[in-house]
Amino acid sequence: MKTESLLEKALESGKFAVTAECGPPKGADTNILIEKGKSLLGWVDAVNVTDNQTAIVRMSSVAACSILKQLGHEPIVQMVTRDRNRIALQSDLFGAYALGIRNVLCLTGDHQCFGNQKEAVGVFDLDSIQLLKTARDMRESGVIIGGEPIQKAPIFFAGAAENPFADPVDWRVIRLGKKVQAGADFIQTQCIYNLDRFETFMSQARNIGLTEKVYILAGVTPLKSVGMARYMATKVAGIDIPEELISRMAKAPKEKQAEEGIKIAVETIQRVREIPGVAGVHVMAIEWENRVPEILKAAGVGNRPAGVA
Amino acid sequence: MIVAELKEIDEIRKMVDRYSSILVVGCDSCVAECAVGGARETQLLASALKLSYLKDRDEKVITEACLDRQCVDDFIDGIAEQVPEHDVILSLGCGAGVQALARVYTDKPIIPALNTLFIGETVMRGVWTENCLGCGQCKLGYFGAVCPVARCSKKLMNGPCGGSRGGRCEIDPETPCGWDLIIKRLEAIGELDRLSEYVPPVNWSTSHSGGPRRVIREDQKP
Amino acid sequence: MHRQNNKIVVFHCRNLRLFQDGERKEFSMAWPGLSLVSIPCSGKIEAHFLLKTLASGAQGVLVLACAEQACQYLEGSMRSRKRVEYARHWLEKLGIAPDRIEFVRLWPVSQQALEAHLEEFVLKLESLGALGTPEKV
Repeated sequence: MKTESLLEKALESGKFAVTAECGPPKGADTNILIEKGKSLLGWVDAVNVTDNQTAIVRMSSVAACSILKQLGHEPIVQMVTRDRNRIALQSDLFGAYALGIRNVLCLTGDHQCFGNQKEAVGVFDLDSIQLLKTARDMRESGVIIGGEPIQKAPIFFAGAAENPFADPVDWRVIRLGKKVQAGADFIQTQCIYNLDRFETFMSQARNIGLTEKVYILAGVTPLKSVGMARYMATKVAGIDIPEELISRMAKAPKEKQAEEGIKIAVETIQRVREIPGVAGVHVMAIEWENRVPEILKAAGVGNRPAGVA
Repeated sequence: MIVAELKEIDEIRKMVDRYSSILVVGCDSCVAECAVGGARETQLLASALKLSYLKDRDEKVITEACLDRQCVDDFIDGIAEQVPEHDVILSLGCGAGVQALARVYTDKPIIPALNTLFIGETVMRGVWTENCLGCGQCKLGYFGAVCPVARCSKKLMNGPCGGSRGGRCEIDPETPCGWDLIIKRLEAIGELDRLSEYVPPVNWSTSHSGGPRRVIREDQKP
Repeated sequence: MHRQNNKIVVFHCRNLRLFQDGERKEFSMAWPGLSLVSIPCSGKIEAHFLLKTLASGAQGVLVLACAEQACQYLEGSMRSRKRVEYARHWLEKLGIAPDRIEFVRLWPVSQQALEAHLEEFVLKLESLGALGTPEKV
């Protein structure tokens, strides 16, 4: 064990790990967050807390992680480089660790033009790989950017995202390799709908030995309706939903579409589980966290003990 | 060159309405190349203002002049005689030109008629694109002469983000993905190996983040 | 007919060959206030010319161009159309009737056709009133 992370512990044990995403509220209401947290409790190894996802202002990821930790979760703080420069990012890494958070997911973040603060400056002082390296250097060498030593360096289990469906196609695995080289312990992928392409991606990753070096958790997002499927396919950056999946959703009667979406998610989990090198699954049920347990149950991923004792 | 666009006439009028004589001054360098502030456009704006005030029956003196370069003293002197006869200078120069005029004509209000946009190139007549942010430490040699700082919407230094789709940027399908261009270029010149190395955080102190910059060359001084 | 003193400027492509020797003067005399300006190609026209012409006192401007395929310089007549559109767009932004600037592909190419067009144009300008008075756009 390199860290005190319970996610690392779960992954190292060799069992099929489960993480889920929990979006903080638009505002300071802790009740919403606690409700979402409760519904996931006992079902996941760790909970990702998004950082102003799609550039929409929400409760800070560090604060929300701390609240979820008190609830008994093992939180993964997501950090995007869009909104903070290296001073703020490193400061937040210290702060998150001080609050007992042991996992960080380093991201660049969606461009601010997608959110509700389109006029904001895009900071992008660092990119996701540089943030990853920063967290890793703190852990391995006890230094911040520039090499200055720090007292009690945070020891994070550090992860990154990868989108197997973005272009240029051949570049995705090279980028994954770069993330591993920069210090990624785990990878959570973009939502998978195009399983064929994901399988190709995984075999490319296996071929260059990446699955030996990093835990890959396959991203799954249940579709609520055919409308959501179409919206994600056309309007959300980096999402690839095959036409056959959209028509499968469309064929289901309106009141049955949610069930169909959940069925697809269950099938996806079952299928990615069979792919060599997939260490777990990361369920991103957008504003649908309460349905995660039934998806996991149906997929046979099973109940698990509460994260934190 | 510097690329700019003309402000809306209403905004310009709001700023110059209070004066009774206006000297409209163009710049025949960068902003002429991007067809927004050269001699032609100076005549266009001066005529448009005349018509606009004629319509409102507001009698104003509007004179036009165009300098070869609005950011160099030797050229700025070219309007020295006309300046005292006017209440205000309406500049069609870039931000640098406007401020240079203000430095030289200390007692004269200078109003910008343009929004200065970026350092870019003329891709074809009528199309200009941004490709330099003036970061102060050019690394184009590593990226196949396509700049990740200026041409990636997120200034990524270590490869394309997950929003790159079919060679287009996630922010807008009309915007080419800078990283797609970098990869294709390096592929074409057989230097794709340059991208496998981790690129450390950029030193932004040489950019505007380090405060307003200046260059001093003793060999060039008078 | 409507041949009052309306200051109108007509830019026409030289290659239209509208006027033989002496005819230009004769034509102008019949239209008080009319200025005929011969240019090497309608493509020579630029938006700032057109606005400047109006800002200098003209009530209306006509640009006479050759048929698109007939342009001696191939693209001139196509370009002038875009430029006239751009100038008209400017008038719109200024709250001035864009119809004060017109692009015309005269057919048939004859003085009679031009006269007919001018009559129409004068009527339009009269309905707009003098430039500098409030007008409906």
